[in-house]
Amino acid sequence: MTSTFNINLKSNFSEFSKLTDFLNKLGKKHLIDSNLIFQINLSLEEIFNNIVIYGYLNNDQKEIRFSFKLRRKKLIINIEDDAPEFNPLKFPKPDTTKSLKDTNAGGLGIHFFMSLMDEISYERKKNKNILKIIKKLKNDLETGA
Amino acid sequence: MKVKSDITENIEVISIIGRIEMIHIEEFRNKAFKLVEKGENGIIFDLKNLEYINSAGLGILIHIAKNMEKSKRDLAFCSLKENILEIFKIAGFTKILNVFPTKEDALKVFN
Repeated sequence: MTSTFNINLKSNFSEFSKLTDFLNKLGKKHLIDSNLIFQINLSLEEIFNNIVIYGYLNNDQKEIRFSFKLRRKKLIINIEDDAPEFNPLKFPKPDTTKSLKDTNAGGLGIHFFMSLMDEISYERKKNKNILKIIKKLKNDLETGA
Repeated sequence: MKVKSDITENIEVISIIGRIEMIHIEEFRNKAFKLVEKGENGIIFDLKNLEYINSAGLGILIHIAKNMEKSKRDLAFCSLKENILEIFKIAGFTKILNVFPTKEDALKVFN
C-alpha cells in the first residue's frame, strides 16, 4: 500500500513554504521524527533553491514538480524540472577542511542533501532533470488504509 | 525570523530566532551585519532559538566570521539545537568556528 502526493511549485522562493507545511503535516500524521523532517526540509530547500537560481536563472514563471511516496520506513521523493541538464551527483564535494580564512562556504547546499539523504539518483529524460531521493524513516509507518 | 542583541559582560550577544529560509536571506544579512558592527569587544551568536537555517544563511555566518577574524575580534556560537549542530558538523564549521554548548561556556573565551 502506498500513498502518493504531488506538489507543483512555481520557481519563486516564496513558494517553498507550501512544501514546508506539507512536510510538517506529513510528519505529524505519520509520527516521523522531527529531526528527519528537518533534514528532508533542508535537503529539498537546497535542491529547490539551486534549480531556481542556477537552473532557471531566477525566472519565477517556471515550475518544479515534487512527488512523495510513502512506503514502509521509506520516503521516496521525485523532483523534476525543465532547466538545462544538471547532475548534482557529478558536482565536486566541497573541501570542508579548509581554514576559516580560505573557505568560501560554497557548494554546501548539494553537500547537505548528499550527506543527509540515504539514496540519490539522477536521470535526464525528455529535456527534464529528474532527481530521485530516498530517506529511510526510523519508525514504522501507517500504510494509508 | 528575528535577530536581536543584548550585552552580557561587555560582549554583544546576538540571538537568531526562528527559521532562516531563502525568503529571509536579505533581511537576515542586513540585520546581522548591523548588529555585528556594534560588537567591538567580541560577539556571541546565541542559537538556542534557531529552528532552521539553510546554506545561504550559513554562508552569511561564515562571511561574518571572516570579517571578525580580519578585525581581530573574538566570535563564538552557543546553544545549538541538535539538528543545527549536525549541519555545522557536515559543513566542517565545528572545526573553524568556536562552538559551545552554553552561553556561559562561550563567555569564558572572552575572559
